[in-house]
Formats: sequence, structure tokens, C-alpha cells
Amino acid sequence: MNDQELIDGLRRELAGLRPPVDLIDRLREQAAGSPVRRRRAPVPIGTLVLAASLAVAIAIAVGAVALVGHDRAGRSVGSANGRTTARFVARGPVMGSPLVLGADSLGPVRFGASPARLEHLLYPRFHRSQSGYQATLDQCGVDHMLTWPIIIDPANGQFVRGEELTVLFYRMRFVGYQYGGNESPYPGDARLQIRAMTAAGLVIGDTLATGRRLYGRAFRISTAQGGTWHAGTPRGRLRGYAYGKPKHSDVSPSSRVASIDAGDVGCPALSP
Amino acid sequence: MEFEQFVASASPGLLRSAYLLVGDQAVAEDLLQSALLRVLHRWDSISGSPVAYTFTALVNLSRDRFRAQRRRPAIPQEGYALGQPAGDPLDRLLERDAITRAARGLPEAQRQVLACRFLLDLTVAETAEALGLPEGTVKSYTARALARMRELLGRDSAVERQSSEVRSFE
Repeated sequence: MNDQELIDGLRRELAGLRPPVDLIDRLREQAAGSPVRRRRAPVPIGTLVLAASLAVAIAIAVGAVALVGHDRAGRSVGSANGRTTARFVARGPVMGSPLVLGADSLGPVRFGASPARLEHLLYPRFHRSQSGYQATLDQCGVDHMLTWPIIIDPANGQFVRGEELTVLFYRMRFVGYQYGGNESPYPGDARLQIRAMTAAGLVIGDTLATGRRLYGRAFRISTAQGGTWHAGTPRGRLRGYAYGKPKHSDVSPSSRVASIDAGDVGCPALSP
Repeated sequence: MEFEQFVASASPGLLRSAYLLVGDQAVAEDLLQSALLRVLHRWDSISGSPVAYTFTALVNLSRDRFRAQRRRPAIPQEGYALGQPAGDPLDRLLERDAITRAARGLPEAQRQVLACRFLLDLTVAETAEALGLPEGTVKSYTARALARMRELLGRDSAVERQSSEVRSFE
């Protein structure tokens, strides 16, 4: 193995390590606890001289006016007192970050939210659901859903069927979601309409080996239902379908994550 | 460049570098977060490469952590670590992370140089500045690190060959 192969190998092996998707948010939160002190920009000498001359001229003018007005109180003209005032500023604009797929939440919306609240909170990102609030068969703890298509096939510009974000409700309460599909043709260069990942950084299309790297031994795979995975987290369980090659059911470490689900997503045929 | 842009572009490489330093993903993430927070507070005053600056912060934090750990009794870590015995197919696949294991077996200074040069893509001069080393030392550490990794990998594959021969004999 030559040097370049070693270096490429090291990069390849570590490529699965990704920072948490909410890293910026965490930093912003921490920074809010300890205000950021911004250094003042250095002022050119020429500008300083000009400002000083101007201040002197103003002082003389004001003094003259005061004398003319017989004002013996001798007001001091406001010049900087030389002390540095610490200037605390808030950090800049919020960076567009992917939707975080939580074990008990979807982005900012926790399980238990009403459909209206969910749509309201997710509206800036998704706009209106294409399906609308749609009834499903009332079984396995799910009775309604909202869906948004997530992947566009670049070959024809159409949404890839079956690849969507489905948010599920039971008695007007948000109980679970499924992001992705169970077939995952998932063309590598497809355009994702809704970028989403788990807090640890797992995305659709990742290999199961990446899942293991991200979640450690809490990440498990199974051949049930043609290939599934699940990961235990402190807030609950994430799970989904896996897509193997050459056959869908060939579950192996190189199989890919086809969907990411949490909460109640229907009966076992649908919920891995 | 805005700080947010910097985090988005540089944090994957920095996290991998931190992992090479400490060998534990959760700890690496914590270190990265702390280092970035330091950088955020000094963002406007950083004159050189912010990547090199952040890496220096990472190195300092990992040393602080190492010192703090030495004062406390060791607590067994839960979860997956490279090199654990293989159980399921995922473990077997991950056992193939031989190059990372070999890199983790290098002395700290050589790991730091490897991280700067090949995970953060810093130049020799930037690496030298970040680590406070002469450029010649950076070059020699790089060469030694790669040679040592090759040696470690050769030893591993020899052991693997031997054990498979034993298995086939049995």
C-alpha cells in the first residue's frame, strides 16, 4: 500500500463521521449563555486626526456660542472619554439546517401536537401538505396523515413515488412519522425536496455500517420485513427499512437506509 | 467568511481529526463543540487560518481532558469502540477500519500532523504554525507516521493470515 492509498483509506474510513446536524444551534445556544464580544475594527490614523480636528473645531464653535450667550456655566462638549465599552452582539442569521428527525419529534414539533400546530410550525419549511389532512384506516394507533413528497427524479423532474414524508395522527394528535420509502430506488443524484437527518447525522442512503458508527451498539439490523434497522436513543427508538443490493432483502452492512421512522406509523406491514 | 459557513464547511474534517486524537466519537463531538465555541468568541480577531486555529484549540482541549482523566478513576465506556471483537455482520465490516486503527496506534504528535495534513488539508507551513513545530519536523513526522502505519497494517494482516491458516487447519 503506497502513501496515497493509505491517506485515501484513512479518509474513506473516517468519512462516516459527521458532526451533529444541530451543531450550529447548540453553539448559538451556548454562545447566548456567554455573550460574544466583538472587537472594534481598527480605525485608520488619518480618520482619527480628522475626527480630532473636527472635535476641536466644534468645541471652539460651541465655546464661542456660549461666550456670546454669556453662558458662564462652561458646558463640556461631548467627546469620547477614552473608556472602551464592551459591545455585546447577537450572532448572525440562522443558517438553513436540515430537519431533525427525532425519536419523539419532527424538527421543532413534539409528538402529541395537533395537526394545526404541526402544519403551522412546519409551514415555513414545507408549505402546505399535498395530501391535506387525510383519513387512513383506523388501525394500529393511526387514523389520519399528512404527506409531502421528498425526492425528485432528475431524469424526468417528477417526484419519486413512495418517497415521502408522512406524518401520522391518532385522534388529532401527532403520533409518528415516516421519512423515505420502503423500496428506495433513490437515485444518487436525485434532488431531495426536504433535507432531513437524525440528530446523530443519519440520512437516507447511508449504509448500515454508518448507522453503527453513529449509534454504536444501539444500532441493530434485522432481516424482518425484507430488511430493517433500529436505533435506541435516550428519547426513544428510531427505525426504518433497509435497502440491500443486489436484492432488496440482502441485508448486510453495505445495505442502505431506505427510511427513517419514529413513533406509531401503522400496522407491522408498514412499521418496521 | 461567516462563522456559520466556516462551521458548515470545516466541522466534518475537524470532527474526524478530533476522533483521531481521542478515539471516541462522543468525546470528539464534545471537544469539537467546545473548540468551536472558543473560536466563535474570538472569530473577529483570528488572523490566520481558522481551521488551523480550531485544530490548535482541539489539541489543547484534548490535552486538558487527558490530564483531567488521569486524576479520576477510569469508567468503562458503553458502546462501540474500534477493535472490539466481532459479533454481528456490522462488526465484521467495521473491523475493516484497519487504517484508522493503525493511525490511532501512532504517537500523539504524529497523529496531530496526520490530521492536519490529510483530514484538514492544511499545508506544511499551516500545520507547522498550528502545532508550533518547524516545517522540517512536520515533514519528518508525516513520513514516519505513514511508514509506521504501513508497518502496523502489515503486522495486522500477517496475524490475520496466521489465524485463518489455523482455522483452516482445524
